[in-house]
Amino acid sequence: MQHIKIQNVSKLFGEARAIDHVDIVIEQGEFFTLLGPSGCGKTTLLRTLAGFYQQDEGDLYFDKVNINRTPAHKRNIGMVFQNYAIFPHMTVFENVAYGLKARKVKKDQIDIRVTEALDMVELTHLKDRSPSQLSGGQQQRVALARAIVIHPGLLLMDEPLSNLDAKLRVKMREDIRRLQKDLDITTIYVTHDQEEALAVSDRIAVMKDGKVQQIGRPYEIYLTPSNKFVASFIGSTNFLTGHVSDGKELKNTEIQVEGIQLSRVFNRDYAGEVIYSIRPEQVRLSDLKHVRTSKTITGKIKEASFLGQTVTYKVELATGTVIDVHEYSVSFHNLRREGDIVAVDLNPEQSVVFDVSGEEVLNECDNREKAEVLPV
Amino acid sequence: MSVITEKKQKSSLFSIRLDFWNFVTIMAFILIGFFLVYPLFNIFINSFWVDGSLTFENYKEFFSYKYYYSALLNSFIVSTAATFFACCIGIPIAYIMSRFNIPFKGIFNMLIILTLLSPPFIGAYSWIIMLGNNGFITNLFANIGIDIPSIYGLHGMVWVFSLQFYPHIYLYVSGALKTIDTSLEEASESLGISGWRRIRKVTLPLIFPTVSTGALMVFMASFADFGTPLLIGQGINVLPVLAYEQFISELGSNPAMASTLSMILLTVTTLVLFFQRHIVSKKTYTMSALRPPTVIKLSPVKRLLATLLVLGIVTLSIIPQATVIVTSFIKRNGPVFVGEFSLDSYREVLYKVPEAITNTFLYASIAIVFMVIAGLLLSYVVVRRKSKLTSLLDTLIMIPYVVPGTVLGISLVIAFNEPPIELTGTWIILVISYIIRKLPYTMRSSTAILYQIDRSVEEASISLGVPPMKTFFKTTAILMIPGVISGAILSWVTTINELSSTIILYYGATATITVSIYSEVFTANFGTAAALASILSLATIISLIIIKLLSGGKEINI
Repeated sequence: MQHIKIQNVSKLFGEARAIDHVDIVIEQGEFFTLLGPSGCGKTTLLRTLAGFYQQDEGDLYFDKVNINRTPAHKRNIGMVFQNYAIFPHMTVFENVAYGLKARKVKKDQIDIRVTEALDMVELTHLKDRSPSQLSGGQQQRVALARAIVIHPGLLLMDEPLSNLDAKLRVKMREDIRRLQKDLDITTIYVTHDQEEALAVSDRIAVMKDGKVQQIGRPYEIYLTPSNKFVASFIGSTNFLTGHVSDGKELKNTEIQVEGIQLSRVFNRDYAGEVIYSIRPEQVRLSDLKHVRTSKTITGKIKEASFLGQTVTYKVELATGTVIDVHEYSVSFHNLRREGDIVAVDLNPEQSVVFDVSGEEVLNECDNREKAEVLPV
Repeated sequence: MSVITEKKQKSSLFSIRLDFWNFVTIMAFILIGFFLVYPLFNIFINSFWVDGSLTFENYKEFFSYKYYYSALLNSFIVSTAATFFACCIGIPIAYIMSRFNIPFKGIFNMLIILTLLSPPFIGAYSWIIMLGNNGFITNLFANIGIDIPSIYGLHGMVWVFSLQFYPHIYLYVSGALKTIDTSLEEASESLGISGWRRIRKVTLPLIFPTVSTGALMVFMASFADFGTPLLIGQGINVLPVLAYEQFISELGSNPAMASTLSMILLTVTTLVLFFQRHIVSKKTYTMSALRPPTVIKLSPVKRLLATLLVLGIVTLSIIPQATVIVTSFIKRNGPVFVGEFSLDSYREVLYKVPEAITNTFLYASIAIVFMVIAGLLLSYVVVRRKSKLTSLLDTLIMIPYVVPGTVLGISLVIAFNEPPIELTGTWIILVISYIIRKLPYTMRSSTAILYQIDRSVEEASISLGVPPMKTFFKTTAILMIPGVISGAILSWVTTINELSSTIILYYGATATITVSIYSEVFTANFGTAAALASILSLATIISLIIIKLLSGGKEINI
């Protein structure tokens, strides 16, 4: 069921377009994340939805009702802020009760609902404390309880975890996700942390320079990035320069990369320079003596960093290009040392090939059909 | 079609913008325009206007008669010398107090602030009691055959101003010293520069911008002060006194010349302000100390010496207050003091000028109500509704910092002397002048606290369903109260101690304590003057304690 519709929305600050013709449709109960580097417009879009900014172009719909002219305090939106924005002059209980009082809810009802909300965030025992006596994580839980207690039609979260330490961040994001699903609140979540976005979201919109670059499920965005920016912003990847001399044969387009020919199924006729993107964990290394075909590139381990679960290598290819390669540290046996010579397989089936500008995907995207059958 | 709807949207957007805050902004502009800009503009015009025609005659006259231009020169000499000596006193005291383990810091600090807040002419008056022609110290020395120089004259003014205004330097420098990270000084020590050389090469340059701001305050205060030169000038004229005399001369006043003198006063203060801004513009360092400097434990001897130095200065600067209070309790016979204590002076005050006391506190209280409201609303507009318009408003509100009280008084009288708006001689004009002159104190402390309040607190409230206006009063306004109130109390303290504009604006029935002190001193009723001054001191001390309690023991920001 369509719940939130953002149609062709733009917001200008002076001459600069903070949001540039954004179109997004969000379903009821969806956990939707706006992800992008700072200055990409994600917070501006969130604040426009909240009603703190007025868009210069376009329309906003909640449940098919246009809310362009609805003031912020009538939008029935719960919002959680980066810096918590707890009312410092009220107790935890009063903070959570604030929105209910504004809605003229009866006092006994307020007591029940506040207690219920504080239960959900596990803060009932602190209800009479003043905010200054709470830790950052506890304050953020109060903010969350305060936002959900009003039964908002939409929950907005603006980088809610960025002021917390790493361990707490992981715990809080799991809690938020669970709460969101239990209460079935449509949620829009803003973050610049791609790992966080991948972990909590049903769908993600990657943004840059006020424009939406790609909208999709976490694995779609990771596995089939729609342009070079998305590929590099989500996770890490190696970009290699390739060349296609004859693109007529779509089914088997030959790409010249690092001195060898790799073939990939293209979706259109293309000739010229391409960007060959392959993630570090997709590159396969093997001992040189085992394999040597025309598709083998030799490389030399320049640096090795042991990170526990994985080992990351910087591998210098024959042409002098240095790529990142990640391998699981399965056993002593498979650890490679600096200076080792290895065979490098660039694994074309898992590669993404962009045109020279990095804006267009050239390979046929065979992952997409698979994506449809995966559970949400 | 789409073009039409877009236009419609734009116009409705515009109508939304006429909200409460814009109303506040517009009202503020109207009031400031009417009660500050218009009167000042008026005296500007007046200074070029003689017998119905435009002329530079007044300015020509000013610069050709020694009687006039020497006043400017005197003002300049006195203020510059006072600024220099205030720095000489204030910087070392601030350094010692913030870096070394001196005992009784809290008390010293309170006394220094008290010195600053008491009206300078009370200081001048008590120095007369001590060092005047018939002063008790003068007499003491005369009895043993030593002729000490009289307090009257330029050097007397410099003496009084230096001791009265060094707290400006002290307060600014103490603040700055706290923001210097220890590591900077440690770095300097590790590079082999230590002791005096380190202070000269690192510490002083770092606090230079702050010192210059303090120096500016001292200069402005000395340059604009009216009471002190009037009491101890004795034949040596300075600009504010000259302007006053030209305006309220019994031999027929000369408003055009008074306006001209006011313009010259205003020009000098403005130039000095720009000069100060100019020299610091290239030397401002933003520092926030991660590790504020620790207090150094001195050896007992050094500690004693440092304490004695601070004690000496603080005593010297608080002596006038003490003298006044003691004097107020001394029994007199006519103008002659006899060596007994009594409450006669207070009885006489209550009998002679009771309304001066009620007037003072009534006017100041009415003014404080307006200042609290204005401070609350205007600081919000200036901080949260930043635009070219509101920053212009901010500048306008701060203008009174450079407008000497005498000038504002003269300009208000000239502007509102005749119908349709005839305010001269009413209490309203006094209250208006207090609000305009003292609002900057409230504004500064209100904006300071507002910068510490998170903007999203309001957004949180709005998103929870409380409309913006109600949100402001339920969240930000409540959180601002301590800052606004402590600023307003400071405004209040300086209001009750105000003389320079009151003396021009008052009229028999609206006389205040300061005006009464002034006239009592002139009619040689030192006892009643002292009693009145003690009442002011007591009110000031109580107010300071309230501020201290409100700010939770934090530093008082003047």
